[in-house]
Amino acid sequence: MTRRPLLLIAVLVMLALVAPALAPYGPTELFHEYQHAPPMRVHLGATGLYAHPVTLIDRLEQRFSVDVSRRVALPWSSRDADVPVFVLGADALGRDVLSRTLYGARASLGLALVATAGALALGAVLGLWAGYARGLVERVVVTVGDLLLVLPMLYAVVALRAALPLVIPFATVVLVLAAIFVTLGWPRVARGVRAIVRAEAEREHVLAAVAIGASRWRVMTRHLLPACLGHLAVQTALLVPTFVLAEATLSYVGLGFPDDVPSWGTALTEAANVAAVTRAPWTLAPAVAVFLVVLVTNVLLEPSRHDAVADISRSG
Amino acid sequence: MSLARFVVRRAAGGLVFALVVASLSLLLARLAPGDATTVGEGMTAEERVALRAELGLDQPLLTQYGRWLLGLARFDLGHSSNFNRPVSDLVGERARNTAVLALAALVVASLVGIPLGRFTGANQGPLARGVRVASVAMLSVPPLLSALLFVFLAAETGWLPVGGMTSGGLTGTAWLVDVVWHLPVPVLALALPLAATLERVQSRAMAEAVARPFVAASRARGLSRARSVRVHAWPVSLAPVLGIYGVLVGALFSGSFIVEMVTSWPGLGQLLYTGLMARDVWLVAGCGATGALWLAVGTTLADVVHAVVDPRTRDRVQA
Repeated sequence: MTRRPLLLIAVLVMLALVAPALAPYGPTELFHEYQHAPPMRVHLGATGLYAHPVTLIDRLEQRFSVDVSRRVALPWSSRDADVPVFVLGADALGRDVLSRTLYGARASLGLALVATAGALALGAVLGLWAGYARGLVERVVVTVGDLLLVLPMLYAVVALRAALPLVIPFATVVLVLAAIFVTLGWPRVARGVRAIVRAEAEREHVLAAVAIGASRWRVMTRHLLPACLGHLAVQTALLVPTFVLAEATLSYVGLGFPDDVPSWGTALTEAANVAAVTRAPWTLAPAVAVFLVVLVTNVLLEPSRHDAVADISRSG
Repeated sequence: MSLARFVVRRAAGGLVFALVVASLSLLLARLAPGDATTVGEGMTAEERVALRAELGLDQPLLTQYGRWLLGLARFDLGHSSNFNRPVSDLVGERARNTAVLALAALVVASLVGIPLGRFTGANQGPLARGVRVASVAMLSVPPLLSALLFVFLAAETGWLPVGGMTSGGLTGTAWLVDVVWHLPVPVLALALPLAATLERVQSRAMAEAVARPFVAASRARGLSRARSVRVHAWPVSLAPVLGIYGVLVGALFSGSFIVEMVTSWPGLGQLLYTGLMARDVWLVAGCGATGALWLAVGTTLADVVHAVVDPRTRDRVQA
């Protein structure tokens, strides 16, 4: 059960890196005559893929007419700035939804992956330490961890973020959000690591290592940590979608990334306006992206997911 | 451990938890930069000082904490500067709204998820497979997305109101009918992901129960398949499902925050958000205390029910 989560992570990392390069337009590029332009159907013709251009006919009602007599090549092959092609439509400001969703992958997945790496590292270290050193360390780690684990994730994320200065620069926002996610995510990792380490520490190969004089460091890294790898892999796959969702939620309520940073959450803030969504449902495309990330995780982890849930429930 | 002892220990643990969370939320609100006097505009320096004194914000932190704890014992949570009302009134009202939403969602999720899980766990075939696929898909629609989806559907079809809890200006029975009318969108948004979770857990528990030797033995004694599943496998499969309810309470609470935000349901989550943004210290602390108490009661109840059904779990819980 180690390989599948790692594959998932590899794919998500690739996506975060590559997606912006696939975007036909810039995330903040405005097309003034195309506010809420509908998605354009892509046709296959003799010269390759093409679409029919749309033109605004009613600004107030945001109605568009499709000019079927003209054909424009897709923006990937030849860029014609006068006649943009919106495969997934345009948003309220006339920005390409597809491009914004692809650029959003960088911020949303990037943040989630960084936070996951942090939570894994902290959780593994504290879990190992608590499980091996026992005594006071273990009690502190378990008590604090349990308290954080019971807190409802979204409430805690919003409360922690709202308690910090509301307007901060982009680079700091990423760090602050990642720090909040790590704070709330590590107990999930540490709890399993500690349980595994406690059981593993009594097995012969560990006792033998101690008997021949291996240092604590060596015992922990060479003999105990490898036993936790499966658990760490599964936790990785569970944390990434959790954090993607946390970012979307935070940005949706205006506490995540600033509005001008394209992320799946900031793109969804537009969906807070019911009238705008019914007029242009394609602006919900980032929601589909979040759904796909969670879906892929669930499908990959379908059997082992229950073990994780059962782990939580067992300790009450 | 006897049941009474378990209940007392568990309840005490829940109270300590609520107190710790409430204290942490007060600390968080006090440590946040700015307070009620820096958010509002057009205040003179004298007015600021007066307001700070009125809210008790000019006292040392420990004095504030002590006073707040004393107030807590009398259900007096201080004064909300943002709403200009006692926090306990506000919080009580909003906690009730959240409770209505969450309980309705829990009931819907149980009524949908458990029977479906029982079915998919004990049966193969295209229908069971279809339910399983739908369930994994629904599991991937977190409350944020389901809330957006249902609001969109309600707006598109015009069948149901898209947000809020009442249309306003109604009393008595008409008010109650109106509230019920506003319920389906937020409740379904909150309930469906939970129903999918319950379906998966119940399905797995059922599949494990059906595979146990005593079920095979009952079949060998000549029981029909349906009766063997209902009388022998079904009760055994319920224990792990009850165990999951303690976790579900947390998920329910977490989900209610975003559902309230999307559908403008005037609940505790929305109130906490308002309080945080307005730097309304006592309101935030009051919401933290109420939310934590709510959560503690929920998880305690779930654990006690679990302990009644499956006594083995009593010894596993450390207070």
